[in-house]
Amino acid sequence: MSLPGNLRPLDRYRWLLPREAAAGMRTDGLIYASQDMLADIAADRAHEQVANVACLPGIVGRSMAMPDIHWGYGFPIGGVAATDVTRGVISPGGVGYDINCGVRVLRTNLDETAVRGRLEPLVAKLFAAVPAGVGGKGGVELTPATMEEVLRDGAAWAVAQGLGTRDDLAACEDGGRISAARPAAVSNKATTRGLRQLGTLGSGNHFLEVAVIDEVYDERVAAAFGISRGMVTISIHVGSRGLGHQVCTDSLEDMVKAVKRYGITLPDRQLACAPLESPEGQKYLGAMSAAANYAWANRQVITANVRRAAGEAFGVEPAALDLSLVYDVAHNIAKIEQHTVDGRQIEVCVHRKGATRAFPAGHPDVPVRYREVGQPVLVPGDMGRYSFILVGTDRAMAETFGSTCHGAGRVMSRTAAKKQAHGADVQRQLAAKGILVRGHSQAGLAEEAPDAYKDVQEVVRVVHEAGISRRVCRMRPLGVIKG
Amino acid sequence: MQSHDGQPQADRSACGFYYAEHTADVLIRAWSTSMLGAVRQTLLATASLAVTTSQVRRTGERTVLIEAADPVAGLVAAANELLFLLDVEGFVAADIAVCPAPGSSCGAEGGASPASGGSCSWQITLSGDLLAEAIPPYQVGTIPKAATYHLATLAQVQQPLSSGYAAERWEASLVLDL
Repeated sequence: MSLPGNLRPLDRYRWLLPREAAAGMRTDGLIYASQDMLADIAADRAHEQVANVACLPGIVGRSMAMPDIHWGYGFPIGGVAATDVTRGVISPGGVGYDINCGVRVLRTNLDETAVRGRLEPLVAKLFAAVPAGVGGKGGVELTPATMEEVLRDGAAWAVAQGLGTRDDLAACEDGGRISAARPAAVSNKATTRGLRQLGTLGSGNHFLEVAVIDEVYDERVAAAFGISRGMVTISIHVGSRGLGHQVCTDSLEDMVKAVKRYGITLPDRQLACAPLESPEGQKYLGAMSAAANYAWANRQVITANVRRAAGEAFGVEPAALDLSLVYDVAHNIAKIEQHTVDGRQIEVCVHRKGATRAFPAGHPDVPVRYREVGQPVLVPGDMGRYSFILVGTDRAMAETFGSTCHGAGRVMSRTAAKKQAHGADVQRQLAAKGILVRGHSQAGLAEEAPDAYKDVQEVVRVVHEAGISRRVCRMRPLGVIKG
Repeated sequence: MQSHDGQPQADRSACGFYYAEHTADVLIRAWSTSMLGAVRQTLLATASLAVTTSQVRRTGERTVLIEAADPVAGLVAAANELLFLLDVEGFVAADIAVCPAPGSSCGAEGGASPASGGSCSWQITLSGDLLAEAIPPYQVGTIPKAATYHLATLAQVQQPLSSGYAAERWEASLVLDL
């Protein structure tokens, strides 16, 4: 098979896109994938987006993509790129519209038998407790003053309202708050969208999932994470809702003008960017960080509602179910981080667009409770197959700026998925596998059918074999609530 | 007007739109005999993702003004305004009118051609309904997050006819993030 776009194999899971492959590339591209994945990548042309990202001024290292790569806008989904903080740019396309879309996983003291007996009321309670769908109103109503606090303090704001504990913050990437946040950089339109959406699920591929850990691959790390075979977990996948979408939209308008002002030539308008040190770059960093904090607050508020709903479903106080947080990760974000490049410690802006941080054992940003083993990496699959918990590695730090995959990645368009099956068919098919699914939109369920996604087991196998994160456990879904 | 997934059944119609293949999101392709007509068709396609416009009752109106550096930017901004109203108010559109903004220096076409990159100033009027107040409630489909610049185009093209002549029409494309 001829390889797409001049890709050259470095080994079984690394494919180099040399900088000579396309005009304007400042560095090579590197795609993590198996041989079998290349046909989809070629059909999708996502490798062209890896080449486009390699054109960004000040890019450090390679333009990379994880094995859940698929065509996005500007950056591919699964894209990772770092830029020099003094000479490089920051690009909203490298984060995406759903700023700090991410996942958190809660452990429980329940097993599958206990949950099977109460699965229908549990799913019903969760469905009722977390507003979703269009607008998603029914969340916590904020005032402009409290909105500013949320944008500044993130998950800590929610904990201060009694909607969580300090333990939750300790188990959250960056403690659920980025200090670079500048609430004043967030537009009135964005805050208007966010005023009534805190604590809501939104739509699309966002979900709550009740699952059981059915395989443990690394007993030592699993024990350190406080998880074990047979344990039921609850996952929450959501981002910054309309506020984040508007921050990205507003920022792209600024960046489209900035590109002309700073004489930046780009192969794709959606890669619009500005020097990180410019007023536009600093404004975006501040607004994006504020939106990221909103997303962490959102996941924290939803966690409080999930705990309450689970308690009601089982007729106990939530504390009796030990719904503590394993970890919370962002997979659409840009962060200023210290990394070693050519033997020197430098500061870079790491863009992760559908990619997850995966820091190794010993890293100071890994919570103390996990520092001996490494950072938990949460990788949701589609609703019919598995999700995974991985752990970060030294090799990820060396090769991918401490990054790995984020999920399954789509292989089928939404239009094709809806042609293939109706939402009700998807529900019946999953029910036959013992998975109870409730969605706020039948069209949404059809679009999110398992067949529309890559098999996440393959995605996880590639990152594990490539050494940029390691499998810890696998979770099999029992109940899913789709936005 | 046509609106369905995949290739249009009769793309020689005067105006219409369809949803083309895109892995993760939605790619709208629209056309009309005028630039503002193509913008209108793109916005109808955007609105129809949430609730099919022909099913929406007309109980209210919203008007937005779009000022943009060029018509493609205007197209993206207009779609994002529609999505803003959907997200904040739950406003769904039954019909959409696009015309030059009052007092603007834009001609009847709503702006200079995309090739010259002229700025544009449009008034967009949406008639529609509020989701929360609709009785009976609408069946809600897909809710986009935003309109993107990726693959965004608005251009006048020549369409070959069976007679051997060519007709000119305006075509638009827009990717919506879901």
